[in-house]
Amino acid sequence: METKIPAALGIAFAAVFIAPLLILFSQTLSVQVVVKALTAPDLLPIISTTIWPSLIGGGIAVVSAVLYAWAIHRTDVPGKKVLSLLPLLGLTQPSEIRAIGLTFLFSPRIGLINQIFDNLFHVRFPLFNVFSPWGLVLAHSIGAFPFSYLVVAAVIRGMDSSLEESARVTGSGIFQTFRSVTVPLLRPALVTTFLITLPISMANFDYPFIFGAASSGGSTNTLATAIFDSISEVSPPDYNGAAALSLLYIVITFIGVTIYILSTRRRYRYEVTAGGRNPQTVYSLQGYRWVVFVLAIGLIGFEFFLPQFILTFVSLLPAFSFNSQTLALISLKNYDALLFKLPFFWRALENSLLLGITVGLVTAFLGSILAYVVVKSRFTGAKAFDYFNTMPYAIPGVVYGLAILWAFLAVPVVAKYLYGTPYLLFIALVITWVPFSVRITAPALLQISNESEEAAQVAGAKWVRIYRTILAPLLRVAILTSFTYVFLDVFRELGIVALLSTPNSYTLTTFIADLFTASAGQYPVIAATATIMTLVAAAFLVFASEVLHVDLLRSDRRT
Amino acid sequence: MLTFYGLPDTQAWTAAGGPVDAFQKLYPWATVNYLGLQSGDETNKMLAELKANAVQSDVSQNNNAPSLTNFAAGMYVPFCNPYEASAGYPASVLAGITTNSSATCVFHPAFGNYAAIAWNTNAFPSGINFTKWSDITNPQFKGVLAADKPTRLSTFGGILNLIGENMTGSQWVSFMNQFKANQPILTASAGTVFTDLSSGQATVGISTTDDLVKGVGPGVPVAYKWVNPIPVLTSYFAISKGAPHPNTAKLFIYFITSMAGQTAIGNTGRLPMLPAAASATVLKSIQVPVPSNYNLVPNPDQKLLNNQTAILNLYTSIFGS
Repeated sequence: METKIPAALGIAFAAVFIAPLLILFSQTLSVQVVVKALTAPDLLPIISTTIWPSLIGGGIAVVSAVLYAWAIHRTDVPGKKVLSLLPLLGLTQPSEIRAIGLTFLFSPRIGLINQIFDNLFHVRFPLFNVFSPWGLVLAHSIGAFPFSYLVVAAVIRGMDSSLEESARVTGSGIFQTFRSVTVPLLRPALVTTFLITLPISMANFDYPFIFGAASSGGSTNTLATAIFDSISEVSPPDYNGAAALSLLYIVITFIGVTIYILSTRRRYRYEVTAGGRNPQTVYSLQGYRWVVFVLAIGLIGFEFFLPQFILTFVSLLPAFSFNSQTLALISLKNYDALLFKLPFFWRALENSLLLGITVGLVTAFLGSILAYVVVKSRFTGAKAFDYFNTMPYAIPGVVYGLAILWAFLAVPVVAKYLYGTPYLLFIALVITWVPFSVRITAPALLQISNESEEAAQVAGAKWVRIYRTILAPLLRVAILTSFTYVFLDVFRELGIVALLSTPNSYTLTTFIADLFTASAGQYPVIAATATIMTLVAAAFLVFASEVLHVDLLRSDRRT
Repeated sequence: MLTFYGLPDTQAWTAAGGPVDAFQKLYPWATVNYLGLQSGDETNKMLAELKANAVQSDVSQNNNAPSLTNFAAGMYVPFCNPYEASAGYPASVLAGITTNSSATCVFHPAFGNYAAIAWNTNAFPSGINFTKWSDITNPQFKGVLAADKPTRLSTFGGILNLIGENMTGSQWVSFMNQFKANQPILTASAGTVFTDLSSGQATVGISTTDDLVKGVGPGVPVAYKWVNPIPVLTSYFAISKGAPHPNTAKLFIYFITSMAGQTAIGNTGRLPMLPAAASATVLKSIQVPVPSNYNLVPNPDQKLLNNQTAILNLYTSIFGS
């Protein structure tokens, strides 16, 4: 098939994406700089704290996701429709907000859970100290759960259950069948999910920053916070050190993606095992139905509702402080201040929505075109796209934001006409999130056979017309799914936004960052902002589901 | 038009009665674009813009130590404002970081920040035993005292330097190691210190008027007191090199250093450097009056400014980056 246009777009995109990093590295790196950074005495503990909590947290997220998805979609647990959608709520919470919520719950000194534990048992130690590497494990496992669930649920819903039925017929019990048949069938999807969420967790800045900001000892320092310190906390900034540390991320990501490619191969990467057209077996849990229901609710309660509850509760108080007068201090003053006395809130909300919608739309379509290069073309560079597809969310936002800033300013036309405008922020976000959109769209594209395109080509249609009249309509659901995901991610983005924001592109995340570091005791107002952000994002999810008919659990399904 | 890179407290600076609003009312033709940035982000952005010859900001505001870094990178241009010398600014404020002859007329007084010792009233309902700055090593405060990272050369970095003024070099290092052993909570900013105090994450902390004036109130379990001498963290404005609107920038400097401009700064809850404006705004309603016999010490002082790199390296070696 003719793939010149998508291949050209792919090469152009790869160049646009890689160029900022090349500019950053060319101006900062040398052998001496790299040796100095890599032989720093505190580097090994920082690397360790970066990797192992992400590994364990990601593993817990994937395992939880598999068990939850299987229970919801393959058993007769009650409330399936609601339970299947509840995990999506986790997508509405920015990680910095989730970190603040976990702080309110599990801070060793003031965390609500620890205070309750202390009041009940009068012990001198906390039940759980979130300001520790295990706190990062908890944060990563909660943060990675929604996405892990979505990927795994899509595969489970599409599975052909004939192999499981065969096992059952031969006398295998439900759980034995799950362990010996279902899990091995899911293995490629589990590996894929784990290897996607792992670099995201390792590059996460918000959890170690928020936990480290409130604790002594620095036990949650990771590469991301070390890079942030080099760029923003040291005067003058140490760009060389930051760039050298970023190389570590690239190396770790390269190894991870290589493992992913070797272990899954192209035919497993996006394939839903069987067509999903046959009715699937739904197992009866009999007396355990409600037990599983309670466990499922408990999991979602812990993953989303508990942090959100404490955030909303704090938003009703003048300060985060629990004593006998707390309930008497509950009021809507923070919401009154936020909605009626802080005009920047509305501007930030408007900008966040506008950016989310525009970036989401452009990214969705561009991603579908680039996915074509990955899936359909025989273009020899297509395999390299797997690396490009992972890089954007494997590198801390503060580094890529700096790289983009330098790159844009290095191009005279951009520096003169685009810099200082909101359009530059828009372009930066599109570049960052297109690879994510490719990953979402590619599974659907894989399921479109080539016959339609070949017939159109024989009839004389060029690729642009084939895309517009055949591929795009068939990919409608995947494109809308991609739009939904990217909207939510842009809504929560801070790293890229911080350096490229302008007076006219103030977003909700920069609004929260302002409150967090500049103004006194603003936790309650931050909590109020976070609650409203979650409500807006949740409303968007409902809109996407009910109006756009996006089935976030089956992005590989065509219309 | 004027583009102003300032503090990440956009609400206060652009609110009615604030500096942006007051300037625009005086000069309706001048639209002010205010961009609130963290100190490090401001440096990164301005450095990149200067290098690319695409400077966006006309004026910028930063704390003393980062301002020096920016000045060393050539980001500012001098502008001699004759009003400042006769306006009534304290000599120490004007001397500030202008003793370096090449920095003459570069920095213009913005606002100050008095440092105080604060505590969480749930943890210490009767107050705390803290009478001098060296009490930060009191074992009673082990693991519970919060301060901003010394390597930022901001509030606490200056206080440490102040404490070291009366010590020999080895005594000072020993003192800092003793403080480190007390497991302090080192935060990203002084604002975070207050946030931790009000939430109870920290029960004692070194906070500043920026936060104490606006943050202490009903339902907020924080109290504070003054310690003699009172470190005053100074902030300055400067005109950017390559400013797109240099004349408007100069007009803004005239305004912001005048009584009207300093009063507008006081309306944001920040302490104007002009004493008359400070008395008419923030100091008029402050919960705990500043004792008149207490010394106000500019922070950073000349020793810190003249030995910035060496002191930064020393702080890094003890407290990490």
